[in-house]
Amino acid sequence: MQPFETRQSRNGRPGTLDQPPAREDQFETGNQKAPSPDFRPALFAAYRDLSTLRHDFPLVLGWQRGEAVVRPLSELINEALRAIAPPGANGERLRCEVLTLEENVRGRAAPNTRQRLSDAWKSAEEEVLPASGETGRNELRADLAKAGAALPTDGDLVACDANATADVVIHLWRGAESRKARAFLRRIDRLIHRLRNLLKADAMRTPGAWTPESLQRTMGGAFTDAFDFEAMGKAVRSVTCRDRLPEKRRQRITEALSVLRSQKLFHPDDLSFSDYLFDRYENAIEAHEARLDEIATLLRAIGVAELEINNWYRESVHDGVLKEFNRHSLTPDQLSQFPCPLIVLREVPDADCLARIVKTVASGHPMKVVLVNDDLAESSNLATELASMAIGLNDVFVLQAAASSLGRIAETLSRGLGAERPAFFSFYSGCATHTPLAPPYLLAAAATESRVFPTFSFDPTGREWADQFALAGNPRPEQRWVAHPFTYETDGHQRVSEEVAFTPIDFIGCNRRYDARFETLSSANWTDDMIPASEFIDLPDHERTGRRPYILAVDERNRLWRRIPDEELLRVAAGYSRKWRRLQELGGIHNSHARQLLERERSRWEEANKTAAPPAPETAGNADIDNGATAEARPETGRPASDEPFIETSRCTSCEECIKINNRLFAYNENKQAFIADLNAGTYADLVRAAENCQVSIIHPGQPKNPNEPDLDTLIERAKPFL
Amino acid sequence: MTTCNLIPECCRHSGDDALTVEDYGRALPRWCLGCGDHAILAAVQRFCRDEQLPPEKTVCVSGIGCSSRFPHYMETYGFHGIHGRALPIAEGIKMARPELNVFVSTGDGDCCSIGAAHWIHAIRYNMDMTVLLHDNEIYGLTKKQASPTSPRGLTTNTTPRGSYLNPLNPLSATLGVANVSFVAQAVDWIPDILHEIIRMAYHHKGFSFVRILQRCPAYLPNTFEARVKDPSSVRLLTHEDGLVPTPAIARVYGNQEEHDPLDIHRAREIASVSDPIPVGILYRDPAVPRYEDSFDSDRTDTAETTGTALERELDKITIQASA
Ligand SMILES: Cc1ncc(C[n+]2csc(CCOP(=O)(O)OP(=O)(O)O)c2C)c(N)n1
Ligand code: SF4
Ligand code: SF4
Ligand SMILES: [Mg+2]
Repeated sequence: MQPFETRQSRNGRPGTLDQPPAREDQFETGNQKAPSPDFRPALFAAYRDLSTLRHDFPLVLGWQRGEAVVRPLSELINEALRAIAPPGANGERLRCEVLTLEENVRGRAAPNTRQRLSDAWKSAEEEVLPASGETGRNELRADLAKAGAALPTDGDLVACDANATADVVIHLWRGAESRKARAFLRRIDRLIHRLRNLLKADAMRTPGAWTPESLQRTMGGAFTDAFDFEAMGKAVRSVTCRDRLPEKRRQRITEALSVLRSQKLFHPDDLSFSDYLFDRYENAIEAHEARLDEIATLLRAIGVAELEINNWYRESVHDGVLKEFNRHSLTPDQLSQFPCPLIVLREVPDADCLARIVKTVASGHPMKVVLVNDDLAESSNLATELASMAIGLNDVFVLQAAASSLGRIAETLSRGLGAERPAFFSFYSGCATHTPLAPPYLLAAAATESRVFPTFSFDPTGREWADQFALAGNPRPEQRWVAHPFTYETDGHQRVSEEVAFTPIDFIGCNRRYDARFETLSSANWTDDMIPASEFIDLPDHERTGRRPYILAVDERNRLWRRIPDEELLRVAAGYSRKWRRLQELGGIHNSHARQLLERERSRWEEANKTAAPPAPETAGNADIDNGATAEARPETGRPASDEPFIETSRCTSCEECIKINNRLFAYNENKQAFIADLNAGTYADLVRAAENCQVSIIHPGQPKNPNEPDLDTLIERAKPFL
Repeated sequence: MTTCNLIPECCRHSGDDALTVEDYGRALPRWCLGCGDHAILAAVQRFCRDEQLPPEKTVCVSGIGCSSRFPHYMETYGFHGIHGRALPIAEGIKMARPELNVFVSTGDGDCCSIGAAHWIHAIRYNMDMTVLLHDNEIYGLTKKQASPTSPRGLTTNTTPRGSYLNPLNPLSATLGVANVSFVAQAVDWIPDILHEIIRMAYHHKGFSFVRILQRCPAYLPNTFEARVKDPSSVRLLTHEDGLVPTPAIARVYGNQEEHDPLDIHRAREIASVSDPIPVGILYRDPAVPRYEDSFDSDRTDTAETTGTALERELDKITIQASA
């Protein structure tokens, strides 16, 4: 939501600020409770008509490069303009024309209707074209057509209405499922292709493959007259036939092939996945369970195919594993490769159903459960709690957001829908009853802004908590309340500007059901003991005495009032405040552990500095380090203590020289590097010759063992450089 | 590689199937005794054993030269190609069967002379393969002819008065090509480091270029001897994201420099120095896109689709008899 900045309109009669509301006669003077007109939070004053405002609705649900996308209309138009309207004066005319058209298209995206952007664009074009002036008409038509063609995608226009959330979620879910289906079908295709090749290679070893007819087939249509296939058959037959595939193996491959070919879990032509979309949890579970056998059979076939293709199948090992594999063996990872059921619930399920959802989801069945809440005002309503509770299930992707931010959170939403794990999404639609003055978009945004329904996500795949939990999407997440500048005029036409914070009480105040919980006062009745509710909510009891909290509200004529909430509303607001504080901590904001640690460390440091001994003389420290370093760098000789011959095996380059000289004295180890295998199998002369021939000089002949070996003196002399 | 995790990893290979270094060896190498190619072969076989690379999923490709006899000695699939064409052959294999492990052995003549054009484009294509440049600074197979990397002044059968030109630097050349993604240098006489560099090259997903200084005792007995004997003639490039030498190696090869493989500018400076010999990972950028991935279409090429496509192409050049 954009910062609220409003300037009080002067449509009302002068002195509006201090005057009672429209139906004056119903009011008594003083701070009596009034059967109020429709009050709205003062910060809403600027947002009477959203259709003229370029905000992130309507959304366009389109497809780009095979991926489902959800993008605000204004963003698509900006992108088109960037592509076709040059910066500066040249492009200005085009920009103005297109923005006028955009306003018209925006007006067509009415709640509870769905229309393609391209259709709305065409109708809007007709409407904005001038009635007369052929040249002007044609020029404008050409400009608008050009802009229309530059739009990056087409798709349904979605206003922020009661069905917006479900439509967006279903669209992105179809995107995620199509991606998965494409990849899976392609893999199955490849497996089929490879398995067929195995069978084909086998068939080529049968006499049937050498008949003149089949040989002719292998040549294709061309040049058949040039060959004598009869003679070729004879020649081929004379080549020894290699072994055929064992019968059992052939049968296994044939069976796997047939399962892969007849699988019905993915349909290449139907990517609507309507069989997997539910509005009741029970139906989803029933359908899911009915599919488990089919999934297990297909996975078994894939397992066989992969083992066979890689030549890994060992009957002693795999026959057993595959035989025992059934619907009960399926793991969450395996299940998530198949379409994940999407369940869109329109109200908080009862305790029984909730328990079942938790049970399935906690056991890892990759269901995607979406709850769309229309009403948050009830303090006992679990709607604002369920998402934080779901985080506790640990392996579940969780997202909470209001419908107003659907365009901005589309990517996170997509990630959750595509995640190979269960996911729970809690949305607030903004379509509450009893809120006549606030359109759903504004109300949804207000729920986020007031911290009643903050945006947050939890993605268990993150490496650690900071990567898993995100508070992104909330305005000013580091602050307790979001404040905006607010400007109004007093009786005496004096401008007053102040910062006004938006609290849960402001949000609740949008709902007429709670009118009776407010006392509404005109400025004549404002007193010095009143403080903004944003300051009051978190005050401890003893500081509350003698003070009265208020929120600012305007009526239909933009006159300003203070509304005093009752005790109950304050209690509810304090609850939301605490919950927000907890989310902030989870999001690493003003983390109390970190703060306490910092304080402890600081006092420890201060304490230590008071009593610190003078630093040790530098030389002593250096001496220590020197000793360490010398010890570390002391070269390893690697030589045996005696006069035994040896080879620095790890430096051997496998050059064969020594082995060629005597392959019993020298041998290669498991890394193909030489060592002395049997000293008795060779002479000192062999050792010395090898040492001389070894290119990397790693053979050390040591001292002779046999004092009677001929020519010893010369050998000892020759060995010297290698000792 | 597997789409379903139905079969646990441990069940895929049974322990008694474990392959040894010998299982990756085939015929007895016919290289001269003391030839550095033996060390490269041993390092690759040892690496295959360590990773248990399935021989039927591994292809060694080469051109022509002593070094290009490499595929004959590996019990994997092999393709002893034609002179200078190892890389295009390897690219074709990778294109058709991206799941195979592809190793290329090529000599300094094979790669940097007759195959130089293919070399440059192969770097640009950045297809996932491990390329070992066996650089002995000579044409070995044709009995001592000067190669592009022969040092200036070297007397050979083709340069009886000493070669006139400065040698080409394969590292600098590779680092200058667009899309370069992995460049390393090793020497055949430090087997542990050679093995480690081959391991890192294999695990880099892209075109991994490893220049290996390789001894040719038959024709250049003196070129490498001094460098082999003196550990300080080698400078190890170390980094936590690159080569981490074992303490034993670090003690022998004390001449070291810390170098971040992501730093291409420093890599180019290092490449330009040949004494001491820099050994380690000069450059690695895993983010460079691979050519084979850009064709990752939804289509599966079957014999039928290939046949139809071939027919279509051949039809274009078939001369039909007039009616
Ligand atoms: C098209 C062609 N030209 C020339 C030759 C001759 N020839 C064979 S190997 C070789 C050079 C090999 O040198 P190098 O690639 O460095 O391999 P080494 O033998 O050194 O390992 C040449 C020029 C050939 N086989 N084919
Ligand atoms: S001669 Fe030296 S390098 Fe060659 S195999 Fe023997 S020990 Fe290894
Ligand atoms: S000629 Fe050189 S490169 Fe070729 S095998 Fe012999 S030593 Fe190795
Ligand atoms: Mg060479």
